[in-house]
Amino acid sequence: MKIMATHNIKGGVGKTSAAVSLAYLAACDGYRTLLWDLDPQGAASFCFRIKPKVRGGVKSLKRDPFSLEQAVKATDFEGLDLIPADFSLRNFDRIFTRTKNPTRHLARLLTPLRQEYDLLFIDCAPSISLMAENIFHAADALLVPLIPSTFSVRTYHQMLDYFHKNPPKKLQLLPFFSMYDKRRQLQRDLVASMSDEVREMLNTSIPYAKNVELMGVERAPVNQFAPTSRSAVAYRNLWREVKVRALDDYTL
Amino acid sequence: MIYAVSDKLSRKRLKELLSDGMDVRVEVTDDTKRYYLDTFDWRLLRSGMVLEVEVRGGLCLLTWRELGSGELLLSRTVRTLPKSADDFSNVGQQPRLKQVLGRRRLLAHASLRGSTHRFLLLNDDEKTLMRVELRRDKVISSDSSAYTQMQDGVYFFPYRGYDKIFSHRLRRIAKGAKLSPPTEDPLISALAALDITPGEYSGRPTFSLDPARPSIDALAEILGRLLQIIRCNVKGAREDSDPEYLHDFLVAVRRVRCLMSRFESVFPEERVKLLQRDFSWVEQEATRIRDLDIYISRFEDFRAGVDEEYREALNSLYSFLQGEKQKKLWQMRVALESSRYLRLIESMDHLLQGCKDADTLPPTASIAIDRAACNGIWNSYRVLVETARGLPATPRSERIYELHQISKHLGYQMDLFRSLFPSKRMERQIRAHDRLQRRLNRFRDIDLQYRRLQSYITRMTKAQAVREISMEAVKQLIADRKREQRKARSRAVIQIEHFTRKKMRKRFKSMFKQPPKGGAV
Repeated sequence: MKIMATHNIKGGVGKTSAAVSLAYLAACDGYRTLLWDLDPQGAASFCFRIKPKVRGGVKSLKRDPFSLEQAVKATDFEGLDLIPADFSLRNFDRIFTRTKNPTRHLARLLTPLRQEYDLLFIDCAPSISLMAENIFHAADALLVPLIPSTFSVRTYHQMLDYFHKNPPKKLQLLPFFSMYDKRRQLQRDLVASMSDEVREMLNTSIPYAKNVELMGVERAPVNQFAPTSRSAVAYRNLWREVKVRALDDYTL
Repeated sequence: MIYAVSDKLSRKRLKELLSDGMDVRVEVTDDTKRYYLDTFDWRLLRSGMVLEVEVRGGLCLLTWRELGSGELLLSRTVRTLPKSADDFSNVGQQPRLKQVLGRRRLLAHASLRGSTHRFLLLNDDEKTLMRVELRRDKVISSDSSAYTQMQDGVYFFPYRGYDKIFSHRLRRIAKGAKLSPPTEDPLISALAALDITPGEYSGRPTFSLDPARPSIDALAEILGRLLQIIRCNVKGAREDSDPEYLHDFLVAVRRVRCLMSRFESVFPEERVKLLQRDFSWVEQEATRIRDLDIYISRFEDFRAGVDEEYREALNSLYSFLQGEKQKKLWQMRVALESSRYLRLIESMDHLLQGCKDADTLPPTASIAIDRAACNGIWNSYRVLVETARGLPATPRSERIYELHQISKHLGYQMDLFRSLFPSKRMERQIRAHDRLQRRLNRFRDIDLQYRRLQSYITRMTKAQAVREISMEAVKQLIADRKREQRKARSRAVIQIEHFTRKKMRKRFKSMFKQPPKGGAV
């Protein structure tokens, strides 16, 4: 199983939309896909109409690693399952901090699911915390949505600094621009300069579009309810790029 | 899960039973097209599985389930009908499917038309908790001229994480509507309606032979089965609906030839000579296409052997090979539809019938089969050892071809007569031989590819204007094949040495030189 997480220290940058859309597109491509909503806000679970509730909460995961298997719910889409969010996830750091190897719990929890799925997408909460460190340890690729703004770019550099100090074993960084408004000169300039500067930057940018916001109203991935829209096309291109970069040498 | 529907169950009643106070959305498809896919030799069915495809709005909904119980193994939406296990490349169950299907193609064995009422049980958030389908199908005959109505069926599809509600509703509906599991799987009913009896075919038949049986009897039984395989596959081989038809056809022809040449003294001499000649002709016709089939099916591996910038340029070679195959296929079709071929099969039939008439048979026909088999295997092994004696480190290709041929004959006999020998010891010898045969096959394939590429390149340039980049790509491929050929040659030599070493010779001698106890005449 290949693990990909959408992460950014900054909130409201399009992590959930990217995770939901990419997971949906992966399932459409025939990959057995699982999406884990690790954000206590539970937006990804809401998008798939699944109640953000895990029986026993995060404590049960500490007690019994196999309980994660029981938390899996099928979505309405073939080949796509989801582990819903739970409000108790906000206590993740507190519960796991005083344990042995505190940054490796997530990877251990995923062991029973490794044979069952080809791909796991993790929708992360915006922070650098113990949970984020767990994700960095478990994931193979980190998808980082960036709004083309100075603040957002600054947080990306903060993240890079963090990785310089704490280099992860196998993590591949895949940043891309999200909520990109082409009409703004400042954003255009920033996208151009960042694309030159950051070698790993993906070529696809997700536009700032109504349809992405509508995902919360329609409660479905944009590629499902508006497959020909600009944003759906952008997510499709993004998925293609991610496949080439992160799954190319990966035999399922 | 599949249930048969009683006549009294209406759609309204089914909806009521499912709903029990919750919302149910109904989707109706009036013209459902459904196909049952399997290989020509029913590999899925024989493994207790069913692969069903429903074509819906330009997409194909693939359902892979267990035969009888209907338990779901996989459900996926795909864009095109899968043709082989390779088309499941992204699907996690591919290894399992590949294990069952091998390289065989998936063919649509039965097509159904009908209507489907899809009932989706929804919660407050309009999330689907389970799906129930009421199917009314008819089986369409292969020429679409007639149809047979199938019994209505209710299919239950669980959604992971909602098991409780699924089992509750399943119980409620089964009880309320008096549903019962169908007496047979809908696939079996569909095939029965089409007069198809699946699961009888095997390309590698096994025989359980009585050691004391006269060899003519045992050989007639084996040849009869091989003739059946030839008959079964000839149509598929002609139509090229799956390269495996031709493979099985060819293997059966080669086995027939092997038995006839190894045991010619058992049959009437004159007739066998004529048959041998004609089977040799059939084998030649089929082998040419089989070699091209191997080339085409492994083309992506060849592509990987050249530099990345030249890979696209190999497309012209690929099209050339496809064209070549079509030409040879046409020639083979003519051959397999000719009166010469029909006469050959007829003569073979006569020969096998004549085996019952003891007066026309030579005296050697009554030798016990175990003794005949021992002689055949031992002689083949001896010839192999003799031919391999003094083999240099880099022998000429022709010498390895010769060994390849002898080894094949040895393998066929060991496989067909395996029941006559102690199973454990025989399995060990067969495994050792398989290792050798694999190496020899690989060498032969690569060597042929290397030699033919050189002739193809000349013919390609004669037939059409070939771009320089394509020529360069083919040249690279030739160099790659040459490298591989060298490797395959040395590996084959090592394996030959291993197979003819003293220890192995002793084993063969002890097993086959003397007939086993009790069986000799």
